[in-house]
Amino acid sequence: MKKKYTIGIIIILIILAIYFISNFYHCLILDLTALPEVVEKYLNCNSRDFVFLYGKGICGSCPAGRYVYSLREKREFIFFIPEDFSNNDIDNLRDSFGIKGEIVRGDIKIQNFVKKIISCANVKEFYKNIHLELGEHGKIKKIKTF
Amino acid sequence: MKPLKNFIYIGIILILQFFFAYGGQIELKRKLIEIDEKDEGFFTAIADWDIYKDYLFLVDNPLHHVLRFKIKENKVEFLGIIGRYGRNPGELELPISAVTWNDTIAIKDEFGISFFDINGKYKKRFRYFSPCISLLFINDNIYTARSNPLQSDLIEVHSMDGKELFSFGKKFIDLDYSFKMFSSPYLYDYFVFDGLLISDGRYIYYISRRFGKLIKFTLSGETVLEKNITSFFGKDGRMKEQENTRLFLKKEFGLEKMVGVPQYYIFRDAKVNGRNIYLLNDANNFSKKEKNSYIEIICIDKNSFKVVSIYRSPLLKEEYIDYLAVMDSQNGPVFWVVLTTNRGSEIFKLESINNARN
Repeated sequence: MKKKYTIGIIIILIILAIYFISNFYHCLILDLTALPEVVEKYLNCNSRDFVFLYGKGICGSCPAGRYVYSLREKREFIFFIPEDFSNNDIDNLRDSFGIKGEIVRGDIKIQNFVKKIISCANVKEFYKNIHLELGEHGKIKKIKTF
Repeated sequence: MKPLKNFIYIGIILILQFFFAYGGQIELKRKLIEIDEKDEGFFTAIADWDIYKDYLFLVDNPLHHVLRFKIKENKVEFLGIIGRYGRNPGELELPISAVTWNDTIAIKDEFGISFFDINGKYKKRFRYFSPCISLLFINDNIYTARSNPLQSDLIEVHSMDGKELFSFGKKFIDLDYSFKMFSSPYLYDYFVFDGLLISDGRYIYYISRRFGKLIKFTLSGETVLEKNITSFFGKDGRMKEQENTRLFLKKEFGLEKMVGVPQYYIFRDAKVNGRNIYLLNDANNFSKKEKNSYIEIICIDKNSFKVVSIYRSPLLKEEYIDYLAVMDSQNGPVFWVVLTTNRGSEIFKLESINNARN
């Protein structure tokens, strides 16, 4: 009888472990990952908000575009964009939304970082934009996908 | 007795002037264009079309590509597909507009503007973020009527590499963007300045769909001529302009309570060809609260903005007018129109009855 209870408890524990690992594993990995150097650099300059525009719908009439428009006056925000943005694309982005913050072309490290954030945020679709807010010492405070 | 004589003379002169200035109404005969779709040339919904030389390009928005056809007398033959679904170079995502110049087709989609040669070979692209009201491609430059609440000019010009060269055409209505009628000020701009850019290669014409403003610009952006053309569409045109003013510009009216944005368009589509601008009238007659039983094309002189002639052809109850194209023939213009019928989108050729007999 005791043995049956023990097996039952073990099974429940395994299920709970799988549940927690599947839900928090990606965030745990993200927490353990060092911030990309370029993010670290801006963090040291007191920038805490990072917007990764790697997703879809960055147009004035789309919900994602509306969110970018709402951030246009935030000079302290850093906007990361994919590596293949040309200088003209960056100018068009700035002109279209009146972005006052810095726009930075991300490298492969930023791209991998974005993938980890997307996994942690439990978003099925990769084509999402991210607003990442960091706390003191680079601890992740908030992840918003849009 | 003398005043009566003068009155008769003046009357005769006025009647003669009317007939000389306005060529009257020309009846058009319509013919269904046969579409040889072969294996892949079918389409779902046409978002835009362009006729260039003897090629017809149909933008299929849901299928994320552009179809290329060869025009033959009363038939079009499928040649191939331009683009495929995706976000990489050479791929398209929800294309909405296509224009051709110098054997290159520019396609606007969610990503930006991509360029292909007319055989479908990818050339280049750039990103474009403002909602695009209308698109033109002339002399290697892209002209867009854009909706951007942050800019005072309506039209901007980019090189094929995406570099903004200059902008022009001050917005003709000052909008109060604090007026929270739409979820985005870009959409407010989009609906108010909804219109078309057309060009004859030397000048650019912007025509507002909701307020009937027609402006002629040089390619470098100087205004040459402007006029309100709502009166060309009679009582219906004037009533639509009034209603659009009430809906979009008067604060007391709660458009946000309505389902969807009303499309009281003064005209549906427009093209420039030879000496004239051709305006395809919107069939929804606002003044009569019913649909017109005819397709009406108003031809105006592109230099004086005066009505030259009016073309008409029957329109069935279940048909809706979408797009217009104008081609030359020896006996005057030949029109191609896209109609949505209960069989889907169909293309018709409209030509004057005399022309059709020849």
